[in-house]
Amino acid sequence: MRHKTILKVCNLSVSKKSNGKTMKLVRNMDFQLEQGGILGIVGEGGSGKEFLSEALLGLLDSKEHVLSGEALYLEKDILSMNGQDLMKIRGREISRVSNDAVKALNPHMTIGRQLDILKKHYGSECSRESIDEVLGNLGIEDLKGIRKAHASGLGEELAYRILLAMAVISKPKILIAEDPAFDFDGLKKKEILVLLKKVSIDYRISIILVTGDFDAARLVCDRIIIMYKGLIVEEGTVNQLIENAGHPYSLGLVKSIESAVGNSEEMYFLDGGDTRLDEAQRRCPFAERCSRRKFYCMEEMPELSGEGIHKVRCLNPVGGAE
Amino acid sequence: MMKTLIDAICLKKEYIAGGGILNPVESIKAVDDVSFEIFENEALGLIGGRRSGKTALGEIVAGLSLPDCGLIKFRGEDMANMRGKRRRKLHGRVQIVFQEIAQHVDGRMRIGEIIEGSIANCKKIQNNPKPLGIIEVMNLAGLDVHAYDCRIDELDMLDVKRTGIALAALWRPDLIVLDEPAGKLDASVRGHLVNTLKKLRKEHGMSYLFLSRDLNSAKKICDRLAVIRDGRIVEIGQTEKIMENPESEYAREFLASIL
Repeated sequence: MRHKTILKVCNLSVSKKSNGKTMKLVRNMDFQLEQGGILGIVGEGGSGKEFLSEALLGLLDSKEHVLSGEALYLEKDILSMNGQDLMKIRGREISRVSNDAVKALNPHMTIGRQLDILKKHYGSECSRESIDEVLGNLGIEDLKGIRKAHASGLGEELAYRILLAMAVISKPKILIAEDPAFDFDGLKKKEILVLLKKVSIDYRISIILVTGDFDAARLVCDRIIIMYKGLIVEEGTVNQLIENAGHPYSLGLVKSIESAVGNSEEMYFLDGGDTRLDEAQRRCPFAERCSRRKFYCMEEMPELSGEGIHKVRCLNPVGGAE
Repeated sequence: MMKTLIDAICLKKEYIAGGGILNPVESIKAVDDVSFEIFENEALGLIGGRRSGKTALGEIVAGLSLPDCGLIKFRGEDMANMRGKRRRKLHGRVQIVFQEIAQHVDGRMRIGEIIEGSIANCKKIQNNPKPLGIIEVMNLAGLDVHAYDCRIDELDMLDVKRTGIALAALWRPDLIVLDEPAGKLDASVRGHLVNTLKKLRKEHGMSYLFLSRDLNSAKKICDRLAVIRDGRIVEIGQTEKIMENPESEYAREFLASIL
């Protein structure tokens, strides 16, 4: 069965103006999000993934940032919306949950007061009963106690569950989860990721998981996009990326995770290089660190190509995807 | 027989938390009746979740804080009785690499100046006429020459971690306490740091106390692992034994969480 496309991003670029220079942070992104799907956007430090998620919520300051392209949410372009239209979809249609839950909650108000404010904001769409039901469904047991508590008195995990509940009570269509398991140890990480999957199924929410942790993404995502220096370098299903990675960077990521889990003495790693964003250059962004580099990689920008949903941006891809 | 470097006996440490309008005052047992030994040229991994007491224990071992009760001995000598020159010498023998390295170095100075300052300190305190040179120190931690002229906020996370290791390793200490050395590091370069730490220990014969939530890195580096929860060590043993056949339930759950 073909799922309905809920978000279609076409040729999205984000640039930042600083000190008279223009830095391209996100370059020509194209992707689609299907209803009920979980899409992972994986990128390590400097890949520009945070700017992408902020652009999708219209949160980037227009004085500092230049946006181009389209982000069509149910046929409406988010990038060209005015402030009032954005207010209507933020939270109600597209919601976001950040990774540092304790800091994201208001430290001065009890959780109950914050929930009441949300209830008032969303009006008839949510009632106290529906809020309690969501909280209960996300594993929060002592509802009375939680309503009286302040954010600083909660543990990170409980705070994350509450923040997630706050993002979900308006029953949005899309949830952007930023590095959900970043600060948790292995045990909690798994629980939080399973919770996200549960949210996606129970409330039929499409999730964009923006993370630097490929390991976390492979556990819950249907499809993964790998970003490097603002560009998509590979996209495909989890299996395609693990078994058949075509871009040397994706292969390096998979190998380094496998070698960490495995019993080998030495750990695999990609040779370091400057991973920070740089000026848009007409060459492969990964060329400096690449072990499969050819002379033409330094002169030409590869296109994202491939069959079906598995696409690779590489002039000399690893065997499987050729 | 291996010589004992650190001997920790029944350590306890409590902190007072809260105390504002919103938070009631409560006392937290960060370290609760912990005993262990670290031998010469051995890497002991202390693994546990958040707020399990790893950092508090690491700071006691590094001599930065004293336990509320219990004994901590370095080469058979009680650390609590060390004062003045002897205490300064101890800091040269036991070094710590903090989790947030950038907060512990001067952001206005260049990395080269910071390392050179530490080398001069090391020469003075250890009365060492031939300390390591700056290039040797940078090589020890795998730090590239370009880092010499950079400030800490201009470096990427891997180089920040390497700077922390260089600043500790230049003392050629007997023990380095490593607090989450691979934390916040991208998965694709984490192996680089782990391999550097292994090489450093092999070539210079030092001991590590490796505090981490990351089991994968800990099992590559450590000879023995101790699983810590709520300030108590729930299980301690050889790495292979703990990884393959953990006895306590918490250790079993923790190990099963490797994704």
